[in-house]
Amino acid sequence: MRQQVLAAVGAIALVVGAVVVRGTIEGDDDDGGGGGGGGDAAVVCPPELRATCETLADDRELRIEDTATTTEALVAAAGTDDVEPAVWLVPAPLADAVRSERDDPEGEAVVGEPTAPLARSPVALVIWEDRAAALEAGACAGTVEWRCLGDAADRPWTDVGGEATWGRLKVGVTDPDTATGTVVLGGATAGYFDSPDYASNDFDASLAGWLGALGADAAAADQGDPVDLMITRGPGEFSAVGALEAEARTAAGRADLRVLYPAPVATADLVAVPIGDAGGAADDVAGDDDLRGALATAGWRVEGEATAPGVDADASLPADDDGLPGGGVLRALVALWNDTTG
Amino acid sequence: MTARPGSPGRRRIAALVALALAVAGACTGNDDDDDGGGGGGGGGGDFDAGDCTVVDLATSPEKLELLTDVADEFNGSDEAQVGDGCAFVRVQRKSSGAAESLLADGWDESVEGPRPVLWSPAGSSWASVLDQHLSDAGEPAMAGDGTPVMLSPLVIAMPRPMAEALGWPDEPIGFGDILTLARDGEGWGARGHPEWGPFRLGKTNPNFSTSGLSALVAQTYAATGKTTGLSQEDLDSPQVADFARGVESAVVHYGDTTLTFLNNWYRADQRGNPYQYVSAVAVEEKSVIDYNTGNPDGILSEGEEPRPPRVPLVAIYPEEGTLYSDNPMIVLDAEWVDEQEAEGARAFVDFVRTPANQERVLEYGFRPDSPEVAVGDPISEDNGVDPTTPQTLLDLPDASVLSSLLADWADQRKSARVLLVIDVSGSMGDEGDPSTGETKLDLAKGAAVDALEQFKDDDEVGLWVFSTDLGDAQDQNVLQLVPPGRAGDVREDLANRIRDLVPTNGTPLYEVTQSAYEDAVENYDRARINAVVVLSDGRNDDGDTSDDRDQLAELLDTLSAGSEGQASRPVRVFPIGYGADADLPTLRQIAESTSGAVYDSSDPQTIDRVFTAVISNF
Repeated sequence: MRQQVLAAVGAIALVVGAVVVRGTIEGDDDDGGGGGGGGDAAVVCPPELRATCETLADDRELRIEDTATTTEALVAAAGTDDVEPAVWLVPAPLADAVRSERDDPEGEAVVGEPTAPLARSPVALVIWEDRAAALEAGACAGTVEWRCLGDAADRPWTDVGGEATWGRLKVGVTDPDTATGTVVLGGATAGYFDSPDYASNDFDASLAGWLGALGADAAAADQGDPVDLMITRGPGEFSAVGALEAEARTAAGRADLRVLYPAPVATADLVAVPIGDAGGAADDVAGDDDLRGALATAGWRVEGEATAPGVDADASLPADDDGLPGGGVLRALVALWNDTTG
Repeated sequence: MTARPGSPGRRRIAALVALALAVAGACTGNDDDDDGGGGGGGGGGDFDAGDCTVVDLATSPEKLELLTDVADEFNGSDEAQVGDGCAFVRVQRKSSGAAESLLADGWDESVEGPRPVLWSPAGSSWASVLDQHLSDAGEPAMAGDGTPVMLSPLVIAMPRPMAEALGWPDEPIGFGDILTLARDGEGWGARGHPEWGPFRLGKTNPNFSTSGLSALVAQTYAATGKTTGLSQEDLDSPQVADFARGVESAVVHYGDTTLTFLNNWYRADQRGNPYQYVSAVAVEEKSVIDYNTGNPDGILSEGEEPRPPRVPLVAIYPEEGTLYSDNPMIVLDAEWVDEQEAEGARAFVDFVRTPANQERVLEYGFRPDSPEVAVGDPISEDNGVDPTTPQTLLDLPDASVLSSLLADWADQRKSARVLLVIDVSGSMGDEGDPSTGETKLDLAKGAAVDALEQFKDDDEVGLWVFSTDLGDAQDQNVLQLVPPGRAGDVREDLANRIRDLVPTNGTPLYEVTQSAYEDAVENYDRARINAVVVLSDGRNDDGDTSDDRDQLAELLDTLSAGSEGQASRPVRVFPIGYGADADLPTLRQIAESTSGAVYDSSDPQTIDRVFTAVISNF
């Protein structure tokens, strides 16, 4: 019982820390008004979208916050009304997680309906050209897909079709503890199951082993942007890297690198999620021309905006779906990843 | 400070060094540190900060010129406008290991220059070393994570014909080949070149130099056949220990800087024979480029024109894998750093990372740490390096394994036979430290006694002192106080003899250096590093100036002749120029004639550090 009390106190503290107090700091805002309100509500962005979100900074308060922190706070706040209105920019399934995991299932979720996706970026796989050719002729026996890549990961290249001087097959993945990294991991795992329709009850030792191999070099990937590390440090750093297309643009157009979109293609569909009573503000943010332009410049696909160099406009995306399971499944997947990769 | 097994004190120091380096995950390599220990003032251009906030930057030496250049452009630029004011970056040179020690133990600005706001060691590992040191001392971390700004992989540099004799560029070459060569009694004869003599390897001391530690890690991985997960069990394997001893047996000498090897190699090349001083040296890729462009130490002095060597080097990327140095920029979280300085430092870091400056990084022979700037010239085959490599990178072992690795190295490294020759002329009685009143000889004695702790028990160490009118009859210029003997047996005797030294008369430098050198040659031990360390505080003064020139010429001839040729018995002389009156130019000539190195301790208060650097060669 005492633990429950402490947990509750902790949860409230999280809410206060992550959401409410910030409202105090920004001062008395709020039109506070009912639906469609939110006015100049603050915008909460994950760190990997900092540069893009800063285009909003002149008009609104901007909070850069780890997605996990925001999620935990909002999950814990379910059923309370102690939240300041804000707009959360995040890939759609992670907003879904706040609803599905709220501590009090009877309590009303503190997030409203997300907007339609304002930008999309598919999960890509960047691989050195010679390594891709070796896998095609070797372990993958055809197109390089997530499943065969994970099966070959952390093994000597000589075992999977490559050369002795290449050492081990090392895979980098955008840190799954980030919002975009969660999507990448979800997409890669869809490749493992050959379907996005998987759930945590499908997780077994086989998947754990596969993730362990795929994440054997996760620590190295945490040292920075894995695509940048791959390019600056060469094939010895990573043989292949999983990242959003927007994060992999620097690899596009290079003769020595190949950018693939392994099936089934998953996408990060960026939505604006109203927190508390900020529905109108969410729509405003989603329609903000500066933000849309900045996202397009950063390599996201934004309807009506020209694609940035390095974005393969010919690569088709799933039309009405992000190719990912629900947010709760993704959070369970990230937990499994962290367990298996230490 | 290095440490070798033996006395409790040495074991303690070894543990500290090893642990620190270990936790660091020490070393992605860079070399470092390679000014030999300490360094000193550097660039920063003309120092006129005006009303700007001064941001002191301490950088490892190999990128001093580059960062000075970038700082000159930053200062006064729009990018230097920070908040309501401006920042002015002032660059000074400090080798990574030396800077780490100073930051951990206390930075004396009167001796070492201004304490840095921004620190750029050769590798990120040094930041961890520092924080671990501070943590051990119960102090808060100061470094944290830095921002890498340029890269250079560890390579094995070889004269091109030697590499070709091993099958380069078609055949992959690694530490396994080095072991094979080191163990082959025929030496290069087994590869069709008996005229090149035995295979000789240059490797720096891993307790001082990041390239030395990277090489140690790489050769140990090579012994196991692994590229990751080096374990204690691996180190405990007799095969791994045997591999290590085999590689170390080929070492010419160690030292705290690869620049000693590169400068000596270049001089040998200019004399027409780069093949017999050393066959291969573990260095950073950048050093190969510098060498091949005629700038072996990477710094062009005023009036110096780069002249490419007769025989270029090629970089061999060990087939077993290698490690990068990442040259981080670290804004120190130290009590002497205020927010305005930190903000200025961050602005400079951003400036260094701009594509334009990353292009400049490339011009200086480093690989940019930016995906926006492609690797290109001068990282090209024309300069002996391969931009498409390395293909395999090695993982740093964890802290405990690295600690054991260093401890094992202290045992497995090549043993030495060293003759310490100390000047006890009258001028050594001059004041050395005004704050304590200690004489120069007092300071030197303390440093020499401390340095004895760095020898391992199996090393052989002897002690001579020199001045005029020595001995009972006052008719000798040198006293052979302790004949070379096993350090484990003679260390205490050596220390007592050193403590008893008193200043006397003149400085018969040439005569005594020649005698000591000839004695070392006569007692040459092929299985050891053979060396003479001469500490002198003045010019040659044996009471007769008329023959000084002839004496010096004879000495240099003797030293040069003994160091060259296939059947030579290479004895390296490492002179220490001590005090402001030391004849550093002549001492340098003496060192260079044996492919040794001169050490500058013109400030007597630096003698501890200098002695440590000298002994790091063994």
